[in-house]
Amino acid sequence: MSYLRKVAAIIAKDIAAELRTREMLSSMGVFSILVIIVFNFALELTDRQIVLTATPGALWVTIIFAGMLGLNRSLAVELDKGCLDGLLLTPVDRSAIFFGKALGNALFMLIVEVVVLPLFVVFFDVPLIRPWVMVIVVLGTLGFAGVGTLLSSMAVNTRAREVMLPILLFPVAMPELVAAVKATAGAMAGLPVSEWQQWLTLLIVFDVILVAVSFMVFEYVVEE
Amino acid sequence: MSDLMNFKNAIFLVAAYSVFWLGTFLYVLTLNQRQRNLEKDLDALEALVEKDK
Amino acid sequence: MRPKIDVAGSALTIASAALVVTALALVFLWAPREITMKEVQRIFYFHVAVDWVGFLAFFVTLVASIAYLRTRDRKWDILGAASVEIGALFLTMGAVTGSLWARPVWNTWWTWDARLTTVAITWLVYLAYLMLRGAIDDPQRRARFSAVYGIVSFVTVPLTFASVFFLRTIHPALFASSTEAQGRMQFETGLGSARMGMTLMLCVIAFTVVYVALLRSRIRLEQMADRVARLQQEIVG
Repeated sequence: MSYLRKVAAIIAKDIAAELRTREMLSSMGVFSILVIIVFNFALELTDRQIVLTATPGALWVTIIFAGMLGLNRSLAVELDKGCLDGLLLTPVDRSAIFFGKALGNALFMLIVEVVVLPLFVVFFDVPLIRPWVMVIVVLGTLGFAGVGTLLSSMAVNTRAREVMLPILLFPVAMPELVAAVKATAGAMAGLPVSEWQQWLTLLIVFDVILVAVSFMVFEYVVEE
Repeated sequence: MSDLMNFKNAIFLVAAYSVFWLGTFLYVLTLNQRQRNLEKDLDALEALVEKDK
Repeated sequence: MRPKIDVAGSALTIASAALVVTALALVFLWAPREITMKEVQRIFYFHVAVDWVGFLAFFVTLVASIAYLRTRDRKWDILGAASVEIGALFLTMGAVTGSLWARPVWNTWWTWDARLTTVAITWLVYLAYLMLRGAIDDPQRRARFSAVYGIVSFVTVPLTFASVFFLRTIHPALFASSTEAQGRMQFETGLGSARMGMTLMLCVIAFTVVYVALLRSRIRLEQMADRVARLQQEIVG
């Protein structure tokens, strides 16, 4: 119980910090809107078929880019304010710090997604408010936030800082992205789960593997 | 007709094997260059250390 | 005192050269001629060998990364970094020559099938690894972070292959496949595929030895750089 409480405490700290300034959420939100508008001009909206085919990919690109903004902010603030060092001085299991930070990052991404999904529905008239779509979005977000938190905690400690994260993260997150996009496409089309369930399975498997590996090596990143 | 195709294809073949050769050769060259530079530095530094003693 | 004659190094260089020459001879003189692709198909031998070793290099880095995190011995860090560098070189050559083979045979420079996508992603990982190292000054942190990334990024190799593989099996008609192209190779002489197999095997062995030789040189270079750094410290301190 105490472990969970520590994780919850870390998440609560991040939420409290964000509520004060709302910097991260607002920049993630504005960025998402910008991306959606750019897609509007990039996609041929007159052709319904093209819109339907391209939406899952466009959605996930939006999520990933906004997510990276959040990841960068979240870990950069830790570094600047020395919060991470403070946390490390306390007798908290390193893995609790990892889950706390990762879940916190996932939570912020989910908040932004709550805005992004309806925006897509409004601007592109696509059926994204389906239960399965939401399940897939949550699953994809969890995996992405997990490995993203690990890599971001490294990236932020390099000379190139924020620029380093996309370079490190994209190749690693690629399989996850493919599975999420294909699953979303299936769910969005209203197809029965059996038709696209292998993507859902892959998504879950990828999540488990990425989060497990990230959690195992995190302690090596924060030891100083 | 088929002869022309074979000839054009042969260009790809030659190009591909040049890539292998060039790639390896250039890498070995850079390694040698860096090694020579380091050996120079090493000699200079070792001489300095000798002088200090 | 630095030893003037490097026996192991010379031996490796000679072995590499000998194997490569033999491989070339086999490829161009002994290996069977493919019916449809004719001579261009011979690119296949070195191309596959170099790709194969390019991935082997990643595995070496994975092992070195794990070993470093457990022992904190600089030698593992050197091995991991050197292997990535040479692996990147090999995969680059593999990708370029693959394109040079694909163009005349399928009339396209690239296709996003499972293998090629995995090669591209692995190449990006190598690049990321090297950039990560370039962005960290502190040697211990650089070694630690590289090791962490070496381990985490390795999983993307099988995962990427799996995800694109499933993509292909669901829509087979949409994706040209290098596997299919290779499977469909037919040779003029009766013993065709046997000769092909043996030639390929020798090419893989040849490139593995080249890899080891280059690795050794790269490692020694890094060790020398370490010595220089240490001496500089000594003089300043």
